[in-house]
Amino acid sequence: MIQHWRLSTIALSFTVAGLMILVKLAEIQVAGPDRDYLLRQSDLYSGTWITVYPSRGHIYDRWGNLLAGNVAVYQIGLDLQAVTDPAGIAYAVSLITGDEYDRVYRIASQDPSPEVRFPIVTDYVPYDQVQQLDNLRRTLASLENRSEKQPIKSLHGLIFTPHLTRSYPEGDLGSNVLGFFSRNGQGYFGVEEQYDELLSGKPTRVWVPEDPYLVEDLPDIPPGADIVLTIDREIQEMVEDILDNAVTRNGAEAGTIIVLDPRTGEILSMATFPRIDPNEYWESGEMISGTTPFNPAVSNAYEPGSVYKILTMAAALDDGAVDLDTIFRDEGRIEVGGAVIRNWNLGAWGEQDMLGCLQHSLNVCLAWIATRLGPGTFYDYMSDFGLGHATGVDLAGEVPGRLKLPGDWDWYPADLATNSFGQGVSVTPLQMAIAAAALANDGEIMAPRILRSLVNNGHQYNPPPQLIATPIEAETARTITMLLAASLENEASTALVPGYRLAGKTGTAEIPTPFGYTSNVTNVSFVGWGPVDDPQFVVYVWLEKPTSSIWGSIVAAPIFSAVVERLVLLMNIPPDDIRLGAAAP
Amino acid sequence: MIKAARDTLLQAYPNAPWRSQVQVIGVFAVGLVTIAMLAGLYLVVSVQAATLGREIQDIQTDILEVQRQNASLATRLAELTSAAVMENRALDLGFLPATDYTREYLPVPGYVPRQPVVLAPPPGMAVASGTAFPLELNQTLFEWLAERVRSANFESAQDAGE
Repeated sequence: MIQHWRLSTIALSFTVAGLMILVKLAEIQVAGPDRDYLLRQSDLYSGTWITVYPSRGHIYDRWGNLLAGNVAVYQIGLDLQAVTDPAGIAYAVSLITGDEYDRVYRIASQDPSPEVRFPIVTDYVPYDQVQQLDNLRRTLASLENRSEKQPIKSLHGLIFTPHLTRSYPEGDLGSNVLGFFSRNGQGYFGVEEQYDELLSGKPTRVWVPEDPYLVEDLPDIPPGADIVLTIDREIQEMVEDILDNAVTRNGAEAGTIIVLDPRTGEILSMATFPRIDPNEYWESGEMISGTTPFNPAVSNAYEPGSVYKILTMAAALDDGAVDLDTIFRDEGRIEVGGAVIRNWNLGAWGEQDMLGCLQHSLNVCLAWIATRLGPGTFYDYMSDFGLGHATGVDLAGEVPGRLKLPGDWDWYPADLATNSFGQGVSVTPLQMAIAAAALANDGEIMAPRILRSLVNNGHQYNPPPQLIATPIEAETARTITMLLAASLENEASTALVPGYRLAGKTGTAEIPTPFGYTSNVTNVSFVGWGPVDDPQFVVYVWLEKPTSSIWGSIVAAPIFSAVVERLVLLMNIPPDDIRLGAAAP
Repeated sequence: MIKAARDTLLQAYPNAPWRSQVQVIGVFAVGLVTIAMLAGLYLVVSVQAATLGREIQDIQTDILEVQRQNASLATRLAELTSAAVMENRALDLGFLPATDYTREYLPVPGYVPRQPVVLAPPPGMAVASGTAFPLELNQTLFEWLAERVRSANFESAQDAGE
C-alpha cells in the first residue's frame, strides 16, 4: 500500500513537471513577452541574406573582340578567433601582396570581439598571389603537424573570398570610349557610364538558410547585358598608334582622330591623346578630376578654324548664294560689322572662283560668302549641320559646343564673318566630323553611334542607323566633295593617298585668350573623306597646340594621309582603278 | 463464445501467469521495434536530405567558382590575343604590315565580306531553364513515401497484368 502511494506521487510529480514544461513552451512560443525577440534571434541565426550581383556585361568591338570583361580577384580577410600568429600573417601578406606590414599586423593582432570578428585586410588581390598565400598556409600547416616544436609560423585565420572585378584586356586601347568601372561599383565616362544600368544587370537579394533541409535553388540571376560597339579594334589601334606618334613628333599637347562611316553614323575609331589605362584608372587623377576632358572627342569644344569653311561653302552653294563660277575679287580685307577680316597670310589673292577660295582657304572670300547668305540663312544652315547642340552620341560627357545666334547677348554682326571661317564658334571634334559626314553622304546626317548591338537574355538587338538631318541637297554635297577633291589635287596636298581620290580641308585655328587672339599657338585639323565617288569613311584629325608648325596643312594633313593609307587596307577598300574597274560591267 | 474464451483465459492465468505477461511484452516489443524502424528510416532519410542539402550548397559554390574561372579565362584569352600582343607576335614571326605596294586584289565571285559579330544564340534554340533540383528534393518524407507506395502499387498491377 505504501509502495503504491510512493509510485503515485512520483507519477504525479512527473506529470506536473511535464505539464509545466508544456505551459512554458506554449508561453514562449505563443504569447510570451520575448516571443518576437526570440523569433528575430532565431531568424538571425537561421541563415543569411546575401546580395547576388550579376556579372557585369562584356563590351566587344564590332568583330567580337573583348574590350571589357571580368576577372576573379580575392578579398583577404581574417577570422580573428583562429589567428595564432599575427606577425606571420602580416609578414606573408605584405611580402606577397605588397601591403604595408604594420597595417596588416595591426589588423591581425586585434582581439576578437562581437564588433570585430572578421576584419578585411585587403581586396582585389589577383589569383596568383592568393594561390601563393594558400600554398604557404598549407605548407606551414603540414610542418606544424609534423614538428613538435611550437615556433613555426602559422597563417591560420586567413580567409579568401573571391569576387569578380572589371578588366580591360586591351589596356588603354579605346579607353576614352570605354570609360571605366570603378571599385565603388559605378561606371564612369564613355560606354561604362552611358550603359551602366544595362551592363550592371539587376542585383538580387537571396536568403541562404543554414538549415540544409531548407536549401533552395539559387535564383537564376541573368548577367548584365553585353554590348557590341561600332569600334573596330584594328582600326582603333592603328589610329591610336598614328596619333600617339603624331602628338609626340609635333610637340602637341593633345590630339583626337575620329573615323566614322558616313553612311551609317557608326564610329569606327575614336582615338584621343592622352588617355588612361582603365585597369589602373586611379593613376590618372587629372583626367578623372575633370581638369582635362576624359574624352576630348565629345567633351572638348574649341574653335575649329578653316575646316569650318566647307560648311559655309556648302550652305552657300545649296542656297544658291554662290555657284561654282561665282568670281570673288579678293583685296585682302573685308569689313563686316565693323571688324576687318584678313586672310591667313594677310595677302590679297585677286580674282578667285569658289574652288580658289577653298583651295587657298581665303577668310575674306568666306566672310563675303557669309554676308551673301545673310545671318538668318547662314545660322539656319549651321544649326542644321548640328552645330550648337549635342549630337546625341551614346557616350557620356558630351558637350554641345557654342554657336552664337543673332539675338544672343554676345552676338555681334562681326561674328557672321568670323564664324564663316570657324572662329568665334566652338564645336567638338565629333560635331565637326558629323557635319562633314553630311557632305560625304549626299547631304544626309546619320545619328552618330557607338552601340552596334545589345545582347540581353539571349537576344541580340541591332539598332538600325537613323537619319537625323538633311542640311543640304545631295547634289550640293557631291559638288562640294568634287570641289574639295580638286582643291587637294591642285595643291598636291600631303593629305593625298596614291590610288584613292579623296576630299578634304585643312584647318588652322587661332586660340582665343581673355585678351583676344593673342596667342601665337594654334590648333590644327584636317577633315576628309573618300573615296569621293562612294565615300565610306570620314576622318577628322585634330591636334592641340603643336610646336613643330602652326599650320594644319603641314601638321594635320600628313596625319590624315597616314591614317587613310592604313584605313583602306583594314576596310578592304581597293584603289579606285581596281574598284571602279571591277564595278564596271 | 466470448464468455467461454474469457473463462479459459481467467482459468489459465493462475496456472501460467507468464503467458499473459509474455503477450504484453511481445506486443510492446513489436511496437517498440516498429517505432525504432520508423525512427531509423526517418533518420536515414533525414541524414540523406541534409547531406544532399550540403552537397547542393557545395555545388552552387562550385558553379559560382566555375563561372568566375570562366570569366577570368575569357579575359585572359582576350589579353593573349589583344591587338598589341598579336601585332608583336606577327612581327616576331617576320610578318610586316601590308602596304599599298605589297597588296594585290583579286575579284572573288560570291565573296561575302566579314560580317559583324553575332553573340546571341540563333533564334529558336532552346535555352535550358527551370530548377536544377530533382523533384524528390522538394518533397516531404511522407510525400516521398506515398509516391513510392503508389509506384510500387502501379508496378505490381503491371506485373499482374502481364
